[in-house]
Amino acid sequence: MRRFWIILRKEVYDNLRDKRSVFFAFLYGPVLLPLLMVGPIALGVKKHTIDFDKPKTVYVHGIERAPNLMQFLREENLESMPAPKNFQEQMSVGDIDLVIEVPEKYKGQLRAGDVATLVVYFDSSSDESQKLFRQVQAIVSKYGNQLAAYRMQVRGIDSSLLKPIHLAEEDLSAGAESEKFVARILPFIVILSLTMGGFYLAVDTTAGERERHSLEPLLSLSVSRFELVLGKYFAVFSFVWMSGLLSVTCTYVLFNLIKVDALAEILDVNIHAFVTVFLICIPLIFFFTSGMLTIATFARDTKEAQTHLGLAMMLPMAPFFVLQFMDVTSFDALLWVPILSQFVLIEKSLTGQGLPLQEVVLSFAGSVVLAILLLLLTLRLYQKDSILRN
Amino acid sequence: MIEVKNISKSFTTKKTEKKSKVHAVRGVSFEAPDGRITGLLGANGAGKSTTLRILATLIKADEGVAVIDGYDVKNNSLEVRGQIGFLPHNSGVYPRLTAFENIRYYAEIAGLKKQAANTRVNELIELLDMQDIADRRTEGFSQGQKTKVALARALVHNPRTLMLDEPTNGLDVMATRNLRAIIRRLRDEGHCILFSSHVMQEVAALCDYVAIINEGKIAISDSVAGIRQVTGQNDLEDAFVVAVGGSIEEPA
Repeated sequence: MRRFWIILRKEVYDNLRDKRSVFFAFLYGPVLLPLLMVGPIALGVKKHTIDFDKPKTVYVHGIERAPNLMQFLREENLESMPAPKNFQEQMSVGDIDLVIEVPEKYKGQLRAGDVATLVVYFDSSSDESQKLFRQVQAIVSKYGNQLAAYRMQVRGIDSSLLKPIHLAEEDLSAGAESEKFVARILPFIVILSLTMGGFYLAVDTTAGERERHSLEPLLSLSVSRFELVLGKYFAVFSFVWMSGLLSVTCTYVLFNLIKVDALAEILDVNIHAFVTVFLICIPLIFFFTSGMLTIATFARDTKEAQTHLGLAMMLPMAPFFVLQFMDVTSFDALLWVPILSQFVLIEKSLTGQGLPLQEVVLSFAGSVVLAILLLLLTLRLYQKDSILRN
Repeated sequence: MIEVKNISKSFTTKKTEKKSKVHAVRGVSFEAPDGRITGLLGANGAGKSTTLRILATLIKADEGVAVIDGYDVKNNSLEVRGQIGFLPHNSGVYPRLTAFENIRYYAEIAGLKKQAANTRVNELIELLDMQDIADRRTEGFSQGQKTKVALARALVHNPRTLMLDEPTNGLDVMATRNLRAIIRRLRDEGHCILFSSHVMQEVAALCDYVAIINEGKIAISDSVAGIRQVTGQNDLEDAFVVAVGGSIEEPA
């Protein structure tokens, strides 16, 4: 097996000098892809999530007219401050996000049991202002409900009269939709990275080798086709492996750099989760390496190999869309199917549903058995005369 | 020592809509003993490269037997590959590896240990006068430089039998002369050399024995002098034309 190592070493060394191979294996899949996909999602979550527990300041014009309301706001983590006189000016330049105005007649209206008016100034084009507005709206509405209950109590009426129906919510799904989405994005990134990592190497070592006529002298050397194919296989494998490992690492770093509490609540963003994702994906490293090598060996030239592989790379995306947009509840019968089974297992693992051993075994076995069959097919192709024809 | 007995090979090709069979080699027989340069002379598409590919164990003959140094090319392909050095029609060097790395890769596959491989590669670099290009990546090399690298690869394990498919393609006059000198020296050292070409002058200048191949069949095989005598022509080109059944009158 000495020759196997020689071929493996040469292919890795040769392709480390190829800018395209290195870019796609170590930069595009592992770094750019997570940035492009996780970045906007994390920022989106951050942008639209309101943290009710974080103490904030609101400016109030006429603060002295509503001491009870100010007390209520404080209890709800909103500290009120007197608004400056030119608050509208300051809001237009973005110095102040929101101002509550308590009109002079507010107190009188409340006393008389009328509808009291509060005016809220905010800027709908600013995310921060809009978020604070929604927070104030929710808190003031809560305060209003409380006042309504008092008023009815004073008049001897049970406040529950105005609530004929109480809708009790019991979410029985394994996790919220957004949680599932993130749990699917992570394997999506890792799996896409795996295919990107080996793409150019698979093309270069097979169709590329034939196209530049280096296969012919190579096959005339005293090395068995088995060792030759195995050497090429593990060269591609090493790139796919590295690409997967790097993408998991980078996504982990990225999730931690963009500190999103809301994300951490719905997704287990600890190192353990990322290690689990990578471990579940290991059989796919074998499967993708075999698949790419077989497809590229079938192709007559590099152009054809790239076209076929490009089309085949749609495949890893299919389970993501099936899971995301089709309402399928059980995949137990399909757990041997590569890619799909990894998606399902990762989702189960990340949403805390646990991983039954037989499901993990089925997922591993399915991918590895198919990988071996494809590797044998590649070997068969290398033993045929037609391997040299282009 | 190469012994070829009645080998045939056909391919299925797709011509327009229909599949058709092309008989590339039809019952070819010849011998190429050690210590002799045997030329395989034929026009493009005559079956030279197919014959060499069969001998290099790259493709399997449909019929017939070919034996190299006692090993059957069909049944003992790995042993045959250990005996031969094969320079195919296209040099097929790795563009991102330097000339040195290209040659050393083959040396290592051939089983040479690290130190021995480096020594042997350096010997070949000197022999083929490649010192100035040895540490350059082969991307951008001239055809002649690539051929030198490929030749060094073919020679790296000091094979007993050397098969060269149109090795002077793209070489300039001086490089061609150097290559001829190297081939003669290898012959004198007792190696068996099978040399394919479509260039008459080259075959006439180099080969001790010539097999003229035409449409997949050996038309005639003899020494250059013998072929001239049998065909009654003084010039090898005319002799070739007569041997393949053509007219030596050039078309107006």
